Amino acid sequence: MTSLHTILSAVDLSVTFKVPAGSLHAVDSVNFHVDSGETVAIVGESGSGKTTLALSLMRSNLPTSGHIFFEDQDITHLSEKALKDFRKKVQMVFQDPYSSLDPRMTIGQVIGEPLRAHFNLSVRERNEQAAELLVSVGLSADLLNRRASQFSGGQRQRVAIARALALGPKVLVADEPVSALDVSTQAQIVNLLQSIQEERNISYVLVSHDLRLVYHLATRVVVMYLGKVVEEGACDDVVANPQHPYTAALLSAVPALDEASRRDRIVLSGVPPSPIARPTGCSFHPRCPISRPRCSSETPELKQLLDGRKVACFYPGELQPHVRFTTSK
Amino acid sequence: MKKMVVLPITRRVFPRKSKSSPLPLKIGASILGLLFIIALFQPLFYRVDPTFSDLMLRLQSPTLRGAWLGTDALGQDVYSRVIAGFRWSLGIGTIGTLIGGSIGISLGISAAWNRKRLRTILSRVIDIGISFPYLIIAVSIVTVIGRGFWPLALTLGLVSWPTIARVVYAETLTLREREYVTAARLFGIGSVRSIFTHILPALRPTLQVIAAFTFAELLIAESGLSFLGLGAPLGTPTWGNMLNDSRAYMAMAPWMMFAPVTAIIVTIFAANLLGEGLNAREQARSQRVSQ
Amino acid sequence: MKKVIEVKNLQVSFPTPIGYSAVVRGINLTIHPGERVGIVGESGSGKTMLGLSMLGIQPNSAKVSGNVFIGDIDMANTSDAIARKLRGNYISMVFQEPLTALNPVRTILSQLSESFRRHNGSSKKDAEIRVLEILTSVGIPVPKERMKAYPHQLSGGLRQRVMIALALINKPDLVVADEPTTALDTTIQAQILDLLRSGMGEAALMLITHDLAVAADVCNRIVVMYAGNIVEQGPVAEMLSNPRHPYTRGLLSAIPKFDQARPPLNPIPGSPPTITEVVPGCRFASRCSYADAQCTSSEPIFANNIACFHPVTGPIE
Repeated sequence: MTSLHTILSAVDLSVTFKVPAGSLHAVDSVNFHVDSGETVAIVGESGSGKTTLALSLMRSNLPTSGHIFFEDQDITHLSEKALKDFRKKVQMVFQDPYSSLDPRMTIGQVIGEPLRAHFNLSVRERNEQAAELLVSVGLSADLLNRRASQFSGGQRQRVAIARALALGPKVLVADEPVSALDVSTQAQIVNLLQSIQEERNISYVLVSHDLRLVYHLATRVVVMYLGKVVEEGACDDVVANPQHPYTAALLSAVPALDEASRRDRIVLSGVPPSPIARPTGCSFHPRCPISRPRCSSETPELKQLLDGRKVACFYPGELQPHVRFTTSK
Repeated sequence: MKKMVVLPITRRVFPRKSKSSPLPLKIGASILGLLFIIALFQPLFYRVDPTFSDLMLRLQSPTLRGAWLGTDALGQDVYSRVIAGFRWSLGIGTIGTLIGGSIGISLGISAAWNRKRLRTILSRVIDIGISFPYLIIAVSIVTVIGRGFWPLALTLGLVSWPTIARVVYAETLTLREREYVTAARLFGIGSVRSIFTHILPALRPTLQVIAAFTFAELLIAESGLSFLGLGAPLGTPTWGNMLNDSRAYMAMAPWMMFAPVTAIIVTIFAANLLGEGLNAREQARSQRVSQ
Repeated sequence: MKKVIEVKNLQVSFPTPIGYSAVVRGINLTIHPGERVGIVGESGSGKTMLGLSMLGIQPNSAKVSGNVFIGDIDMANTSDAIARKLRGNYISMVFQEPLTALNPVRTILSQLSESFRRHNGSSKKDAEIRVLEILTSVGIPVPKERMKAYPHQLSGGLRQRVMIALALINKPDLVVADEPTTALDTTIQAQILDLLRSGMGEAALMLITHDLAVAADVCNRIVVMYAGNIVEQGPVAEMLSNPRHPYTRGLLSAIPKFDQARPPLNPIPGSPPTITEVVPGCRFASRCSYADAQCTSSEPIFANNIACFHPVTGPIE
């Protein structure tokens, strides 16, 4: 195994949007890092800031405060020109393969687009590389001249992955990469992502709401609620043995295939409040089954527990989800 | 048990022909194509030189033998002058549309592409352009440069760009939010390249439709300006000038008016058909995509 | 046994460039009172069109044949007006996106009360009492205030609860819910699934979903559809522990599980046939590892809860 070193990280990152009703703190003082070869999952519901965090890591938007580092280099304020090398190393796969591929382009043009932007290649060389990439994502090289509109969702997502691999990235940010796909093709893409990671030693940032998928793919998990990290740590700790009541509720809310997991389900009342008007104290307290008076006045810090994970809760581990985990041979 | 009614399962119908181009598009395009051919090769269609004047033959009514569409007050052949007018009118329409299109497309895209202050400024400029009365533009240009083909084409370009800019602006705003445009940015692809590879090709169908309609509008505007004496130099065989000349002889020689009016109507009708046909085709396409 | 609805040999076809193609291919389905049936299938399986045509609200271009019985009455043998009335009285529908199904310019109260009064002819006051009652029963907090709100003023989860209240207000025999939680967040989805499982009163439920786990969570019977056919059905426990159709087994082993060993997923290769594709034999054969010559030449008939020549037994591996 290669020694772990941090490739992409965010330090005290905040992203605030101005909206007519005030300021929307989409991401609030978040620390985040991806090490080489690992898969970090960012988990949360809509409004949690998980997608905004992922996009900020890619320098898609300028953070309001804080810093982003790529291999020790501070890239927070680099110009688009200076980011050129960074763009090669950090790539993205989007949720919806129907809107992420230009319907007017052939597959060869789609995959060739990033190549054209970075390398001075002849059309033939570009097509050769595109064909190789197509094969590496399990598609036939003859499809190069077809248009994306002739493809199914799963095939499109393969093309999108091939395009993201074209520049030889070190980090792949995948925003809900399978949730727009049919169940039977989801597994194909999941396996493809895994085999690509093994072959190329790419780190993944997986943005997802699906805890089953996260548990299957991730090595580390970051749970966000209303722009803040509420729990983070190794996947086996956070998902299988959550300490924050929100993580516990999230896990418990996963539709269960077995009767036992369904019986003691924690069902949260209410909905996440708007990120524009966050509750005082712990943002989660109005929905938290174990909240006490203290939670509405004091804000819990993200603190490290003995097993290495971090939790932002005054009463960690109190709420247990009772979800059954198995171990197959 | 109730009696069951079993309906026929499926009925095969003949494959429907895939909708290629709607009829209006075909008709409009053929007429316009024909008119452009006339404009390009007009000397072939002349009966006599359109500026040849024979005062002996003035105000002759149409005959099969001589002047098919009659002659005007100077004894010039109306038919040949209408043919000559094609080059002027179609040329003005085309170049005016091109000028308006280039200004409109560049301003519309720049306004939509920039996020901050520039967008506000540019969209205000477009708003002002839309509310600006075109006669004032025309009068000031004619006053400064004088009359002629290019001043008129420029005037019409300056008249037509704001509408085009507004449509382009609105459409680019939605296009730039498409994920493939974001994706391109995250590959490190610059704005200019992204506009050329993703935005302009996507705008093309809309632009074709606007171009056809703008062309028709500019023909009307051109005739109007010539009629007011703000267009072609006096004596130049254009439809506007011919209309202007015909005013005094409306009762005596109605053919003088009839011929250019027909030419104008046919051309505008064809351009509008083309525009509507293109629009219908585009709508059919987008429906098919969304299915 | 009493039936809420019975579907016999239902076919739904759409015009395509090569003629009419069936998206629902001769389906038989019976739902009994109080049952919660999950219709599971991927896109193109025909599950949504099955639901819509049972309610008689399929798109205009669709051609429907076969019989839908509500109680004992065959919808094909009655006038359109009566059929519409019967459907309105006995079946209601919950859509994926309640915003498109609710009238944006009318309050929750006025929409719910109108539906109730049209059905029962009761007074405005009685209707309001019923609206309050039903909103409380679907778990809307402070219903007295919320019922004066407009749909867009409510969150997605609350809107879906209102939609369910609207579906339940006239005490239907059957509620058809098409992907009612797909647009919702996980914790909100759990709330709605709870409501669908235990808050439907007397009404039977037909839950249309792409997610086997969602169906398993709510229903007591699961019907699996593939490319326009029902391929297998059975009680939830049996379908999850001992599925026999290779497609059902494939679906189950394609879902990631909370398994500490993290075994690789077993995807079903390929993709479902498109609606214009002519497939001789079993429509799943090209993706099935058990398929043989019989499967590619003749189509298996649905019998004993399964449509397969080679049902599989034993645990999934």
